[in-house]
Amino acid sequence: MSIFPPSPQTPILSTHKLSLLFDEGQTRALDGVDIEVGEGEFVAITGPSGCGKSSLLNLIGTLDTPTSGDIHFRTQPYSALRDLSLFRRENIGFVFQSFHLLPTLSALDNVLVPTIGRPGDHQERARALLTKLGLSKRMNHFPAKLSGGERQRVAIARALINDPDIILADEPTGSLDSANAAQVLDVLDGIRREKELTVIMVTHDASVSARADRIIRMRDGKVDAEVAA
Amino acid sequence: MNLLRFALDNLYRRPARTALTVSAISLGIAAVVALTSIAWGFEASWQKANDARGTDLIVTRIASENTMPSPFVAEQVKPALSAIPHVREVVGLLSEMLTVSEDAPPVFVFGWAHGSYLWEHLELKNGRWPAEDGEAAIAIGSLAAEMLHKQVGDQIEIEGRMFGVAGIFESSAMIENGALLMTLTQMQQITDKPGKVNILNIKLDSQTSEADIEAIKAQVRKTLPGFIAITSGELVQKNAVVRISKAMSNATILIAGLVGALVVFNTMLMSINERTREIGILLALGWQRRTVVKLIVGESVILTLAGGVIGILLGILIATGLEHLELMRGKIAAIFSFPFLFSVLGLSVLLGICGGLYPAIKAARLQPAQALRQE
Repeated sequence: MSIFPPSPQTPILSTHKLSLLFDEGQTRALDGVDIEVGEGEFVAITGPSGCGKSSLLNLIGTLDTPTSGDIHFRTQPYSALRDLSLFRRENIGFVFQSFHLLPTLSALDNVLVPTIGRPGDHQERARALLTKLGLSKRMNHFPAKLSGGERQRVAIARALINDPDIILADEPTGSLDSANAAQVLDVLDGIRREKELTVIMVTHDASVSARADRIIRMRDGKVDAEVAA
Repeated sequence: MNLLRFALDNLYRRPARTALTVSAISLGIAAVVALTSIAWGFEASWQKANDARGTDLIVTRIASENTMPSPFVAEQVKPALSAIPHVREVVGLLSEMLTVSEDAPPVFVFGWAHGSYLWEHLELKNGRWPAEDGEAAIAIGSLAAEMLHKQVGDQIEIEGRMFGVAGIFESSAMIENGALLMTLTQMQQITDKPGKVNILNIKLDSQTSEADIEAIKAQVRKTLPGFIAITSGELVQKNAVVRISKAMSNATILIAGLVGALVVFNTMLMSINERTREIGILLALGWQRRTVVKLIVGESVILTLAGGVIGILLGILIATGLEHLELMRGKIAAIFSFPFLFSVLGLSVLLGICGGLYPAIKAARLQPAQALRQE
């Protein structure tokens, strides 16, 4: 049961007729997508492979630019943002399916990577996050020495280090066994509730999407259905 | 974790490429340091030899650009020079580079007017000076004595004539330490140049001002056609060998600079092509584009700075090694000035910035989503 109703009262994020074309217009990844996500909501985007769910997540995360349409963060349209990377740094945290940890850095240093170039000492915060995620004894371990679940928890800590408003997770349990997947989802949901974060998660796994407040089903680049989980 | 540590870590992750790039840059920098320090040393050695003698002006043929200017008959000009106000002494010098031993490389042999002020700056370590103009005796520099394995009382054959080693001297000018010294008359005889000198050294009185020196120069040009009065520094600058060696060192700086920048450019371009996905991750994690530029340029500068430091040490080693080659001993003292070495480090940093800037901008312009899709 979500702490927010399935239809968000206060959208933190909304897309407006969002379209994305690939291959010089030959492939339509997204076709007029309109969604709204409420503050603190946990939304799962599901659908078959190639339906456009990852493309939608990339556009929301400002990793790609839409062919047409716009996205609003609260009242701010993305098209009016002057520095997308600065916006991303301050508002969005990413969690990837294959973790994308840097192999030569320890867990602690991996968490600190997003803070490089930012003023201040972020060590204490990184240590606190790793401790909260149950990795207090694994801080100085390199990714190769961590289990899949531990790596994804390091990635979650990394996504949280800049104190974002939204976590975008692309198949966060896709590389994990069911036990580790459940543990990672527990961590993600626990952090969301505690920090009142908004989580948008792409998954093709029905048992994973069931953990969300709301499920947006996509097909052929369009929203097919929105249902409460 | 800061940008510097992250950049170092990235370079450490690719040890072979990092080592090769640093090696290539350090070789280029070593060539620059070795050649330039030798070119400067060559120039300075000659100037020091002239300065050490206490010569104020040197009169030579106007068109001559040899290390030792072409000989001329001293009496053509000496009386006129002696008559110029403030001129205290006019002393002839004749020099040649000659082979005096089959076991040793050629050495400079100087002929100086007997009893002139030229001898005064030398310190006699052993024996005595040639007693008179006509004595077949020589004094040898301490380095020449070592190279030729000669001591006081030994004989040396020069141009078919035997000379006794009368004394061994020490000079503050390295070229003189590696040279043999005889009277001007003896030198004119063995080189078959009676009455001739390469240069005339002028000693001025202590009341001579800068304006007087300029006036003397002008008078020589006016009254002695084909001759010029110049300072020892100007004589060295006029020297074709000095100019060629400086031109070679400048060309080396240019070539090493271009090659170094291209090596860094290639390395960084390969590096960012391999790390496209990683750069995509950094951008996705909120890195600003200027931070990516700083990272890539930083890595590039670290490479060239490391190459610069190693290159400087290697260059000093090479130049010092060349100085001690039998052929070069007593002729060149390489000069390693701190301003020059700092300039070389500056050049290294510049190479890093130039070589890394385009790859850095290319990396910063990557579309994060596209970069993340790259395998």
